[in-house]
Amino acid sequence: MDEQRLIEAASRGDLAAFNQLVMSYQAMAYNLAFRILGTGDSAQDATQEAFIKAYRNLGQYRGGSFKAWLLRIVTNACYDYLRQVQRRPTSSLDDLSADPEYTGQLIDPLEAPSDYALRQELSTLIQRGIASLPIEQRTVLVLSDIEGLSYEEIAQAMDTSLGTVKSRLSRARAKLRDYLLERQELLPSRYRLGND
Amino acid sequence: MNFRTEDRDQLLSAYLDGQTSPREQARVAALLEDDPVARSDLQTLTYTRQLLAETPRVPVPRAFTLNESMVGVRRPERAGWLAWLQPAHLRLATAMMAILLVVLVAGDFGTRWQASGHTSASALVAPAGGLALDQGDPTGITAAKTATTESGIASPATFLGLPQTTLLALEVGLAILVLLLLAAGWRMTRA
Repeated sequence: MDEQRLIEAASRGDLAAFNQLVMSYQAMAYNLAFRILGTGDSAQDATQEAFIKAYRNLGQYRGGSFKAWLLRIVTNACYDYLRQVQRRPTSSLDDLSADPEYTGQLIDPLEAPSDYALRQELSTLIQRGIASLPIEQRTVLVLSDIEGLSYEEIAQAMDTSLGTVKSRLSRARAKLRDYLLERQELLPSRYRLGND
Repeated sequence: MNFRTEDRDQLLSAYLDGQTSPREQARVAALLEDDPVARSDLQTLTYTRQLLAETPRVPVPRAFTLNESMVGVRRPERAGWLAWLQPAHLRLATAMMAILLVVLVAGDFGTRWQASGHTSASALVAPAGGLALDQGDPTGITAAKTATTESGIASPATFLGLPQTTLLALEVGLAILVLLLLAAGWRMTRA
């Protein structure tokens, strides 16, 4: 069944049809939540909450990119999660910046151990760099450079203008570049600038 | 060419994504030719973007599919002949019923208003006629009264010739139907 038919069926209450949409988009949704929130547990909570909200609000979907509509809900779920954490006195936003279990989540059985270790180092450093960005710059950077959305889709997913997308993305890239250049020695040698 | 650093970064970032206009592309070309710092910035921005693209995706730890308990009470599926019903259909039906109600109420009100004007005019004319009849033939008084009664006091003109009680019942019924359709549409959209 194509996506449009699945959306129509799901909007009539067909949960099985909606779950097919979940299977198609859960990797993208979870990755976005993980990059925004920084930990696996919080990303799981936000992703699950986002899919529940999406199912309940399918009647408000008015066509266009379903992916962008869904990622907007994921983004808002992440922002809600961060607001809850800020209100909770026992938790800290710093807790979200590093996940000790993250290493175990990136095992790819097809990858050589040495390559895996290199990519793991790179990933950890990049995740720290992303976490250092303001939340809206973080979101636009992940949507563009990791998830590969177009400027139009990002504008729809973040409910903002193309100009704002351009400006936030440029600032995010510049800040991440400065962050990485300051920490060149922490990057695996293969990924250092000038080692092409 | 003078640029603020932020403007230059924005231009170079959009250039990397192919999101520049022909005019902006010309500006970038001139900038890269003239300014070694801009060339270096473009190189490091490209490098940053490549690193991000190489960042491994995080494997999904579990399926996020939903079950009925997660989404609360399951919405009853509209089976059979109701399956075609969409919010747009309900909106159309609501609008049509509302228009019919407005036409009915306006027609009813207009007819009553016209009838009351006609009755007043008759009331002004009747005493003169009655006087003439009274003067000519005392038995004509009964005839005049009968004629006046038949012309509209006891049986006023009604909209579409429907009895007043039927009109009132139709208006109330339509108003209730419009409210029910509005509630159903709201619930369908919200569900």
